[in-house]
Amino acid sequence: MVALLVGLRFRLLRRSLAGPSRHRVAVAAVAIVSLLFTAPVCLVLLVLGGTDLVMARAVTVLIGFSLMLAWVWLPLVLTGTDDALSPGRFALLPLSAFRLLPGLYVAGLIGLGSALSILVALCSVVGWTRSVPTFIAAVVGALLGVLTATLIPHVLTTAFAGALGSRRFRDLTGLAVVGFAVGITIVMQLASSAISHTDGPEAVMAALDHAATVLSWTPFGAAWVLPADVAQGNMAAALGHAALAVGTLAALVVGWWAALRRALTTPLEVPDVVVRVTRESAIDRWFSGSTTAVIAGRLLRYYRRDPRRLLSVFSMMLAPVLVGVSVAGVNAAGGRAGGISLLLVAPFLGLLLGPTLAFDISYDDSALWTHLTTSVKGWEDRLGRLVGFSTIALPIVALVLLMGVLSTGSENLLPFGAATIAVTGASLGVGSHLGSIIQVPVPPPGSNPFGKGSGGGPLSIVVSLLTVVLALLVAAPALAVAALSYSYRWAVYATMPIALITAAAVIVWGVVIGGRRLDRRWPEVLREVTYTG
Amino acid sequence: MPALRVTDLVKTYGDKRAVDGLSLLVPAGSMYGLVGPNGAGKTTTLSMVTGLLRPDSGTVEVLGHDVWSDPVAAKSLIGVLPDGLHVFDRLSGRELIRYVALLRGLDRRVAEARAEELLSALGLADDAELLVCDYSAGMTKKIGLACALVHAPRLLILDEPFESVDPVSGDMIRQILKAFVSSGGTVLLSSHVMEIVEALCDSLAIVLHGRVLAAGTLGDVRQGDSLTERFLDLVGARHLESESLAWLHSS
Repeated sequence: MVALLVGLRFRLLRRSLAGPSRHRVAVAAVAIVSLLFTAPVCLVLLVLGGTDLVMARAVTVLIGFSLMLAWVWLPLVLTGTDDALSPGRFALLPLSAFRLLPGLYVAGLIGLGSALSILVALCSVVGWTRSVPTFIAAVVGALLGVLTATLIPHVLTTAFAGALGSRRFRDLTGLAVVGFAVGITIVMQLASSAISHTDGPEAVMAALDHAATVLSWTPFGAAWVLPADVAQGNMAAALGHAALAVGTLAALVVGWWAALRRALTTPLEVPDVVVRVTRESAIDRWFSGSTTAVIAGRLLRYYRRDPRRLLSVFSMMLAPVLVGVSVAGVNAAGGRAGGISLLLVAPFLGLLLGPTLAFDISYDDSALWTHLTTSVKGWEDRLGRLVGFSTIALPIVALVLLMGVLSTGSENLLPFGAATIAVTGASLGVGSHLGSIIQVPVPPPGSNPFGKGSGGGPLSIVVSLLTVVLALLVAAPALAVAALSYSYRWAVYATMPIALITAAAVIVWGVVIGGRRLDRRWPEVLREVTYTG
Repeated sequence: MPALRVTDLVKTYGDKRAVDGLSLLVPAGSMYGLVGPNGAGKTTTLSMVTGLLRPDSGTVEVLGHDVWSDPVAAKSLIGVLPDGLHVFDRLSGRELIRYVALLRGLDRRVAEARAEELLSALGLADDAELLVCDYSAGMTKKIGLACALVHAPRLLILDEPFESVDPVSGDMIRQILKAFVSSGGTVLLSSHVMEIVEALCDSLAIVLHGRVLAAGTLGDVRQGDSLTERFLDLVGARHLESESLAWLHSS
């Protein structure tokens, strides 16, 4: 069974590489970028042997914890982009969850993420080869850590697969997002409290040490602290951490097994409750004047009813929660939040809107034919999606900006408001344009279990990166003026007009040029977004 | 003027010619059937006729308007029900008809009135507030037909309209199509069920390997046989050898 599934995985991988050349380019780009991120991490871990014990401990735990978080984040972003080995596909075969489990796990290991995680773990083992006991502890810790990390996406996606398309999906997604938010908030809090110490390197070190201690007693940090415990001769802590790490691993295995059993017996999602929508809602009254408005109105409905779009709304709502928790945390500690990090959240969130908008046409799947037969013009499609999405997203961005300004000082409103407008507009415009050029087929929620996987994951990562980078480039002049407005009088007057012009120009560009591109190749776009399941 | 004139349509996928120089003349006011075995190129042809798939060569004219050079005029005259493509199924039945009607440029009040009429004519009034993704396959076909009809087209192009439709709904669809034709409209439908085409259509074309084998009125094509016999004759039916699959005989 293991060999069979691994072989299947390899064949799927090979086929996705044999596909259109831009898939190969996308895979290569993702590989290069992630190697660029991993290489310095590995270098740091490798030289740990020669550094101070406290420093080595803090670095290992922080890196290990972040690795685990990445494995929570990845399936959240990529959910539904590749379901080749999704458990529902095996439902009709006489296979028990128990027999499938090892094969699915090993097959899941074949991939860039697992390879890089194993590389990081190996480097940590090398870095902790101070003595035989620390070496053994490092091996055990790395093994536990990698096993736990690579199990996380299985548990998440299997639980999602059982719930995608159902009402339960909302609760599950909400839970995962909140869990991720709590994790990232802890890291941010600890990092910023460490950085804000200006009393010299000792204070920073103490803060880092404190952070490592806190993280080491969480399920995601316990495995990585084992060699440090042994090196410090603290056997009681080592035993406690080992128990926590093993317990986490066991809980994940049991959780996955239970979710897999459920997914195998209820593969085709039967709606828990058949919903009735209201006969007429405000959307019908407000969004009916033009083709653009009608499309925007449909999008508004879809952001509530389509689980994949709902997921992106949930992720956006993460931002205000994050800022709120951070402010509350700093206030509770008796300090005054003055960090620039709070103000950066709003432009950062705005920057991330573009990719979501770019993918929107792909989420429509083959239903897009309706826009072809009704002769929807390209610019109407682009603008309708932009308006519908902005109606939900812009209030969240504004809220985050307001929270940041209120907790830091009103002098930040103009520069950061301008920066947010410029970046958000640029991102939406670039997203509109890119969405007309590149489409990624995505499996529809509750899709046919016998369909083929699409392997659109790497391509969607590349589209996201491209949107973000291009938007930043386009918004760079406006950002520069906004930054100068802290020191120069003229920049104060210039910053808002420049930001507004940038935003408007890029949006018009994206809608008009992207629309023209759609007009030229509607049938080809329809073929691209059709998920051949 | 014919309702639809298709000339030398070609579509190639790799080495396979899915549609191979297909020509078709659908007279105005006819109920025209496009029949052929699975993989004959029916769906590919209808996709190119409705502007969903770009042909390699050949032309398509709807009431004198070329689908590929004058698409807006041509598309406003046709109503389409494709097979195997999704609809916006996270909308309710009523919302979906209204969405299509508004995209077709109908006034909001007209769109709403027509949506109600279509829902009750197709027996979907009780399920109008359900999401289309919770509909059965037959209900999805019916809501698709409602969307194709909502702007009062002159030519209806339906791909497998009776597939997975129960007898009651099937009869309902037949009545609506007959009324549509008797009031001057034209229907082009595809099917691989000969009996349906024989009972419903007045003209037809038999398609195989992307080419038209026979076309004309029902009488012309049948030549005295039943349509099924004539079809199997033209397509070249294969007979099962008596020895093959012997292990299936349990007694």
